[in-house]
Amino acid sequence: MKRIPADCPACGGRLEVTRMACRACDTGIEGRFELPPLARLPVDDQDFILQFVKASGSLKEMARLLHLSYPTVRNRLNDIIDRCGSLETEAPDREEPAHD
Amino acid sequence: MTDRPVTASKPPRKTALLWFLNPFTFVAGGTALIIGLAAILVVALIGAVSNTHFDGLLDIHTGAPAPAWLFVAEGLIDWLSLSLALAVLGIIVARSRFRIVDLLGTQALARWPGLLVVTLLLISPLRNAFNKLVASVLKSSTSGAPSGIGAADVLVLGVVSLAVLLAVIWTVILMYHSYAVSCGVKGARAIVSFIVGLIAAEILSKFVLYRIVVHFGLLAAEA
Repeated sequence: MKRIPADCPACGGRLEVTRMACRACDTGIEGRFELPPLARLPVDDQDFILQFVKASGSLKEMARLLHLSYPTVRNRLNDIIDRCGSLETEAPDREEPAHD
Repeated sequence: MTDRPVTASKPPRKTALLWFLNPFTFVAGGTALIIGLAAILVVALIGAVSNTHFDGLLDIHTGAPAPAWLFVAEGLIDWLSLSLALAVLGIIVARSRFRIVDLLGTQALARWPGLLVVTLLLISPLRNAFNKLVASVLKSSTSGAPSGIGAADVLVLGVVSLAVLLAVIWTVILMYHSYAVSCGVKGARAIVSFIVGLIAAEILSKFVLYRIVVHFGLLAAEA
């Protein structure tokens, strides 16, 4: 399966999911679905987070698995935390509908 | 995401260059500390044979014979001075907490190019020629008399000086990467704070070593 692109290859703007389909019956749902911050991270960062969770959040274990030093892995995690922070504080492209 | 294997473990590109200029991407903590301390000890012991003093953070020169412990003390004081200065600066500028063992270990390991210098100066004919040439140039510059050195002498002086200079530059690059990786700092903030730390450590190491040689009456060895 293809990876979800987070940014527009033409203008660099943020992409949204506009159509989803059921794998079983092929029912389609159309709308504008916001990608969660984790899905908007670069693929390498997503892989790192997945491996980090699998390693029970142990940086030492991550360092052993990746054959990197502990501070290198910790710095990589800090970079991802910064990127997540930026994505969360990013202004939305359009106004959210009111939920009354 | 589940349709392909996780690839976070792929090795960084340009691995050989990283091992050369920033081995701390791969080695830090206790392992680096053990290897680094061993390197400092070996450098000191070979330096004791070739009378190569590291009497300051970035100072290398051949001098008078001295007890072996002085050479070991020089290496340890140089290492601890910079580690202390960078630890303080790291606490101030780093965005997150860091492990002191990473800084101590990688700083110790960053001093290993000194091994190449002491080994080079261990070659007796080369060391003697180098010392003679330096003395001759110094005497000539103070008395105004011709130094009497030929083209071959200049070549020896040039090659040894260049090798020492390259080793010092390499050491400084390693020291910087040790600081940047261990404390998680980068950019202008890392460069400026590192330079401040380098200057502070140079002054501190010179002061401590001067106090030691004066206390033990070894001033001639350091001269």
